Amino acid sequence: MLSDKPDLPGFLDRRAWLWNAGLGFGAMASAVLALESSRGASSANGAILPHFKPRAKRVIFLFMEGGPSHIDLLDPKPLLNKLAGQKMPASFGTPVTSMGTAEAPLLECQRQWTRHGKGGLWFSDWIPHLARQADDMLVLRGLWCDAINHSAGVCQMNTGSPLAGRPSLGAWTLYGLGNEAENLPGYVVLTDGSAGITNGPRNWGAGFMPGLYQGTKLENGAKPLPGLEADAKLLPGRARLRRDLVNSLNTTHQAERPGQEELSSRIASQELAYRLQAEAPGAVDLAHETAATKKLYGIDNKNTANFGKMCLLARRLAERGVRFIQLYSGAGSRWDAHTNIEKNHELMCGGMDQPVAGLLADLKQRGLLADTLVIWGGEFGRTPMSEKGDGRDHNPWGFSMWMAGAGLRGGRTVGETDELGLRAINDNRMHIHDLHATILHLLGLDHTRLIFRHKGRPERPTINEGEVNQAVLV
Amino acid sequence: MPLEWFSFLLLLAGSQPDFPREVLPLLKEHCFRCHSHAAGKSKGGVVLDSRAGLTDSGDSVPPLNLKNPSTSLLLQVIRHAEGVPAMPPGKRLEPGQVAVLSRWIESGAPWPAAPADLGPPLRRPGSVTAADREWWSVQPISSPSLTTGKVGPDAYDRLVLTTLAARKLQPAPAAEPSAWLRRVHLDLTGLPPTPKTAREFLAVPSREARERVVDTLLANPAYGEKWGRLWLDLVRYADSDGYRQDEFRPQAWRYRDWVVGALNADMPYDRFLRLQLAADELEPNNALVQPALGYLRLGTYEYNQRDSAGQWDTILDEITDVTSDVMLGLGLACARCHDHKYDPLRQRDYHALRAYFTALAWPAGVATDATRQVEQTAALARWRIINQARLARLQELEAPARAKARAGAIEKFPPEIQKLLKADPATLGPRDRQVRDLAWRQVDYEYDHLENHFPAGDSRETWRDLYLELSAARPKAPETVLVAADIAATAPSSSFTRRGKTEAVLPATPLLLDRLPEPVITPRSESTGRRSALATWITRPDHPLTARVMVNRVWAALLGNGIVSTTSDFGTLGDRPSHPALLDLLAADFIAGGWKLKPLIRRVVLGDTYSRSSNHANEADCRLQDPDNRLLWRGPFRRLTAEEIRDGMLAASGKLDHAAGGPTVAGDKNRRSLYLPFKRNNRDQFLAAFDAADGVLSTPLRQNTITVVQTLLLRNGTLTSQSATGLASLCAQGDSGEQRATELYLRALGRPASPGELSIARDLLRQGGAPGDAELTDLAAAVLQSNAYLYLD
Repeated sequence: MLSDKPDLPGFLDRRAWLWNAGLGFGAMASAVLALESSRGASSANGAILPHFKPRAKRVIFLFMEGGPSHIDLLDPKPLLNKLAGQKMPASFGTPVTSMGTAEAPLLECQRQWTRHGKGGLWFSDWIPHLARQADDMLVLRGLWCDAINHSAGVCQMNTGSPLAGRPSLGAWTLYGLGNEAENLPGYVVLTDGSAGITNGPRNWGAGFMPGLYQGTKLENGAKPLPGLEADAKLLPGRARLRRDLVNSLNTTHQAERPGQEELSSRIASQELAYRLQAEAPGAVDLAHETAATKKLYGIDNKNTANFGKMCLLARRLAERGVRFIQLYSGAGSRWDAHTNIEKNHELMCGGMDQPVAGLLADLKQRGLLADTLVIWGGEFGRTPMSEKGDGRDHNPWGFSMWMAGAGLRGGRTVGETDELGLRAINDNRMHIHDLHATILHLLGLDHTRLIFRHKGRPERPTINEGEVNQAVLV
Repeated sequence: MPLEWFSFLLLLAGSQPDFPREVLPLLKEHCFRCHSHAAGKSKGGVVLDSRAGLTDSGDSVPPLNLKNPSTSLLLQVIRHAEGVPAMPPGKRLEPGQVAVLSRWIESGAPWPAAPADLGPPLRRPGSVTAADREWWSVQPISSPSLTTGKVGPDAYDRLVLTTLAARKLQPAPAAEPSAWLRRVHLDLTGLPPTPKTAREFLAVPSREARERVVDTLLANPAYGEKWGRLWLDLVRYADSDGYRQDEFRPQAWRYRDWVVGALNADMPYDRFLRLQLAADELEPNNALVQPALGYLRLGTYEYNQRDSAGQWDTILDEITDVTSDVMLGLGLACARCHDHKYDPLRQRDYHALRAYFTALAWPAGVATDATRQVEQTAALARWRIINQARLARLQELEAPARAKARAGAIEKFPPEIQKLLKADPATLGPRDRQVRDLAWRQVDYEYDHLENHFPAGDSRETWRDLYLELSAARPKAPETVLVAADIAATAPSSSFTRRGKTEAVLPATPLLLDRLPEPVITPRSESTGRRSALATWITRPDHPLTARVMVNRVWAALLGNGIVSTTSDFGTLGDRPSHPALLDLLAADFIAGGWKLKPLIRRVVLGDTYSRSSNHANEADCRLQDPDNRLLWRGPFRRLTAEEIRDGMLAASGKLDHAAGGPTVAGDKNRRSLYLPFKRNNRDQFLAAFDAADGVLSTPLRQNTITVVQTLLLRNGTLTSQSATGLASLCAQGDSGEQRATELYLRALGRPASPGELSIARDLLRQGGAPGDAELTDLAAAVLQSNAYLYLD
């Protein structure tokens, strides 16, 4: 029978595994994996997970929401400044743009560019702190996607498809690898402001997979999760009394229904909730971090404090075994520089540069970078054409991201765009599916064998497309 | 096969390439990425990982020509011959490699070893074979009641018992009356029994009392609210657009209310479907049924998508997908881009089905009340006359802003759409007009935000003051409902691209179902008649899928598992029926009874199968044979749905507002969950945590998850604490702690506490439990988050 049940190890009761894998019980999940691997058997779908030795155990995905300009940050284009003010030469083609800018004059890049590190990577003067981490950074210059608008772009970067409804990459990761954090969710999302992210929570949703694979958004501040704290009106002893009361009611109830194993899973989840209540506040409490650490992340500076705290929190979550951590910079498309890119990007880069550089340095000095994959990028890049005279439109045809950690060889680029940075060209163009395939590969998962049956159809994270980029792995 | 045998000899003789050492590695390296089961790809319909793939796969001709191997397509493509695609793409094999493969192919391509475990066979594309037509779900519905009309009232139960007996399984005994009572209340209305109902029924739980309970529940408007939700899940109902803006759809609720009302009135299911697909064509003068067309307005919409042609195509694709999933149980979506790899559904079938919808248009909403519309139109005319001068002044003031808004909106589109937007719509063909209409919504959007297009300063202020002044006296526009129509009496042409070639397609139903006569399309004065033709075809009494799919959904909703567990997929990737005769009997009865759901539900819930205990004395033995209770050796056991958890808490605490229908209400109002705003990007936190549908994809069966977030929301959320306080205050009248606990259980669970539960309550309330004491509230809070509340026996 083919059903909506995922193809996962069948050693434990499959349902118990499912319920437990999403949040906590990391030890149990690992035990299942270990046993399955030692058996060495393969099911039709290759359900031994991970499929091969992973290079990274976890991901920190830094999402610059709105679309940062690759040609002003990481991918210098001398020809752009030569042709600035003119229409793009016909040889570059006429793309369908979001704001009708295909015919608009090319906009000069006002940045100073310098080369950094042993590999001589190019950085603009907007990201001086990151430039110092050059030798740990692998810059991907040949990204492209299918979305000219934010909604579809953010959706595709997260789920592979520009249309809503599919599980996010974090959900696939959790589905494939389970959670290692003892008392924390396995997939955590943080955003840098109260503005809603384009598409909202479905960006970290589980799509057609069970909800336990979805991301959990932690709020900034002392109350990271809803319901984490007991009702303030309850006297101290009462919460404890209710807890015991629920426990004994559930035990009695279960004893009368021995056949319903789901009941014990729910009781276990209630226990886990107590542990989470006890530990989550500590996990997000930065009070015990040293002044030097805080300075490294720019927490001592008002421009960088906000994203700095998020980056530091990301490291703390990584230390605790959280599998997939996603940080949004510019929540509500604040990187979306349709006008006055100078002012916009100066502000956005200024808030992001030092915290992210601090995160890389801190992960490295603590030995975490070796098995953590850090990814940086937005849903697309920006056009060489101008918009409203001093801004840039959306560019899904070619843009940059970078990766660090996971044993990747840094200080180099993979892929390239044309002479104006409009389109990804030549070898090593990477569609989002290729990016996702490569990320999953680094996590030890084969994107063609990571399968979830939905309505009888075998679904893959890369929708039957995509290839692992071998140049990234070298 | 002699040729193969001969090749083998040659191979052994050493004059042919060594297959495992020389040939297979080449195929693996250069071909399998696009043409193998391992990669899951069969580009061009070709698979090259087996000899059968060589001889039988391929959209045009197979790779290997056995009769004349040296002319084989495979050979031509690797030699980069004229007129065939060069393979592998983008590179050329080395001469030595070509030579190896040539020698191998020319010797008949011997394949000495079958690669292990290739998975289910991929289909030969483009074909529907006689064997395909034998697939169970496309056979006519056959059942004794069709021929004899005589089947006992316990026929469903007897069929279940027969299957159990064949497997030597004993069914569980009947459930306790209190368990049945709670089960049937939640299943039929989504609400727990009232204390009064529970007391009366438990005093005398006779057969007659059961029938009375069921009849009362089916007559309760809450029935439509519960079963309407199941339908809304299927058709991905939501109150917002999705995408970035996720704009609120203030009129969407009219479709929701229509669904609820139709179910409460027990509208025959065939008519229920027909109206959703084509009320405008079938009953154009019946205003009451027009909200049904909201079905064709439910998809997501992106307010700033400049590729309007692409967006319109996506909208039509999605309507096609949902219709085939929901109404026919056919997972057709795969066939949008290629012939289905497992089901006999061709790409042409997809696009032929989609062609029934290609003339679709989204007209402005129609008024819900024709009389009031006439009155309001007259009032508007009077208002215009009275305010003629000021309206002229307003127009004058806003003309530049409107021009700026329009130009600004239009210039964002690519040139070909700009051309459409600037054209006179009357001069455009139907397809161009559809695309223009969709794009023009963005101009209207800017008109609706006109204040953004004034230069700051006096003129904007003057305009705004005048605008507000005039609007204050403007007669309210008639309330409208979202409907659908056709763009014209002639449909745009339909086509699809197959292997780089565009093929025209006309409306037609899937070839697999060609036992049924093709629908007859009768064009009308303003519409193509296509949708009504499809609607009539889908609801033919001899349609093998429509009724089967629906009765199976009902069975799944009541018994916890469908007879076919994949309730939206009756194809080869789906499940086979556990009780085929029962499925057919249910479907036949359903059709013979006029496609009415209530009699079907009534008969099932009064039957023994539904009424069994969910506990079985020999659970372990039964599980060995049937781990998922597919054979129904015990009664259903499930967690409450998100809505049931919330609504039940409100009901138990006496706070539930039973008002039915109308616009959505904020989450802090104590209306049923059905009436909370369903925002696609931002679902109600509590409902989303308990696996409510997402309103994006059709949801035939909800997930059943256990997460810590659920526990935290139950433990520390305001819903529990407020409900607990309310529930405790309703139970404070009793004389003793035990009496109060009994009342509390009756209100929360519709049953008395079990001895074990009562003893826990007694212990607690000994320390307090007088009216107003915290212990009673503690007990209420604990019960409402306990498994006894969350699960249904």
